[in-house]
Amino acid sequence: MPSHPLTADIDFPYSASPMLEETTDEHLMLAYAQGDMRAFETLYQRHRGTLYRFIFRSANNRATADEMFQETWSRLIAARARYRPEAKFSTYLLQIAQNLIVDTYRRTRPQAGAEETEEIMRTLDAPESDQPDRILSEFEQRRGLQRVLEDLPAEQRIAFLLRVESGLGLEEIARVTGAGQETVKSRLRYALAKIRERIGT
Amino acid sequence: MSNQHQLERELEEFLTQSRLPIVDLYSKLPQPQPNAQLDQQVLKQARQALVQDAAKPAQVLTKPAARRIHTRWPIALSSAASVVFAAGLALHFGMENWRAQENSPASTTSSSATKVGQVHRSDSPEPKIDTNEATPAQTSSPSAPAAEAVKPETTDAAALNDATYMHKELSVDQVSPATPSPSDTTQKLEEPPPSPNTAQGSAAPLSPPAASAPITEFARDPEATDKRTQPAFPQTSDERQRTMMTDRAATLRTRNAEATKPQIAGAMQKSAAPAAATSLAMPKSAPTPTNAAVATVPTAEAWIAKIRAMVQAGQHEQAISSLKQLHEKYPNYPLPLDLRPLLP
Repeated sequence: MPSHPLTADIDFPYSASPMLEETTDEHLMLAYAQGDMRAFETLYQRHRGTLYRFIFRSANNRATADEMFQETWSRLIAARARYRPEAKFSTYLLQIAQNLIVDTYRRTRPQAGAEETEEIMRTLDAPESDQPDRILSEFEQRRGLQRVLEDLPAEQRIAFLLRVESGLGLEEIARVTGAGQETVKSRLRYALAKIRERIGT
Repeated sequence: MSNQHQLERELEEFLTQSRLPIVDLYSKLPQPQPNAQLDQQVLKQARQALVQDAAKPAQVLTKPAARRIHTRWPIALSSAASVVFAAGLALHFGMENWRAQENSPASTTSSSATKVGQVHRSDSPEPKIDTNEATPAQTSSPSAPAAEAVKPETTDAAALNDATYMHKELSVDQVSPATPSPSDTTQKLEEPPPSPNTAQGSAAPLSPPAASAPITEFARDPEATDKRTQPAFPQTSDERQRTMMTDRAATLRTRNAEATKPQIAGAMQKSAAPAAATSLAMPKSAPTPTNAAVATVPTAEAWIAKIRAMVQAGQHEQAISSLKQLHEKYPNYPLPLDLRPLLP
């Protein structure tokens, strides 16, 4: 059985059988709730990278991302008996993570004063897009994308990440974030505008 | 405007297409992964959860059963309690009705003797009640002209009583002879068992219902019981009977205790029952009971036994007379079958 590229270095006690590989996420979760540990391992292999990146890019902090990643899986494990396959498993998992991200963001939201904000704005460099004579290299574009993602408002960043990282559609993003589809559309529209403005793609 | 249009187009492409420059650029970003330690922690947690699940089924199996038992018990207990409560209520009210029927002549007689005439004149649908009310008044006052006037009606009422005996025999026989009424019990406690001579010798003995009902009420009333222990009240059995005729009599006596003290004292010296206390309680038209009338009254069972003894001794006239008196005093008491032929 070919090992998952992202989990090749992990010492899993069980190896997922081909049958499990073909099983849907929802059935794997139900199987785990019935006591099948291999189902959970398969599920974990499928979603660990995507989930971690979504959390990491939302939290902008490795330690916080690790903590939230583990907490997301803990909540999923705790809710195994109540799980009902009413929606995609990825949506269910990302919804747990998104709730954690929002809670963490609310707790750690910077409370800068007016003078501090003014000082930060004054010392910031002008946006790179304001310098037309400069041609950005690919490295600079990636760096710019990272920075603009960090600077995006949380709602816009989450909507963008759910789309590009997890591949969710408009309806699924709306379900995960608990917002209306038009709201999600608006958030994505603003996020794309800011990214294009910053990196010129 | 074109900028806005371009944004909308980019958004549509972003939502529908996977191969976009921005998505390609994002895929070239560093791809952080959870480290191995984090993976192990998550997998360990998942495994522990399953171990806990494996340990739970015994509790899960026992808990619902216990819960079912706990949810069933209150229903069963409440149902049983309701049944017991309903049965208790029915028994209580049934006994109350029975007692009321037994004591009805006493209460009406003690309240006012003038009612007797009114009741007899009225066309009551229950002639038995009329008889019960009339009989004690007649028997307790041998010298009263009014009592003489209603004697024929009493005879008719006695006949009616005979008819009702047959009707009530089943219900009363099951309860009354085996378990004497509380009034009888109270009467037994209040007064010593009378001698047969006293019962026979009394020309007009005091009506037992008239005496028993107030005794019952008196025994139930703690205030009256306390008053009974006071030295200002008459202590003889005659006086006690008269005192317990009605609640009204007791109240009036309490109010006029000071006024009646000399009379009661005089009566105690003479060892005779004065009529002063009773006259306060009873209307002027009511006859005053004599010493013979207020003599101790036997219970119906003892009386029946004495009558049987008379019959066996050949004293048929005395037995008939005594049986008549018994029947007048206890009109609702079911006469034994062997003694019924003695009555006309």
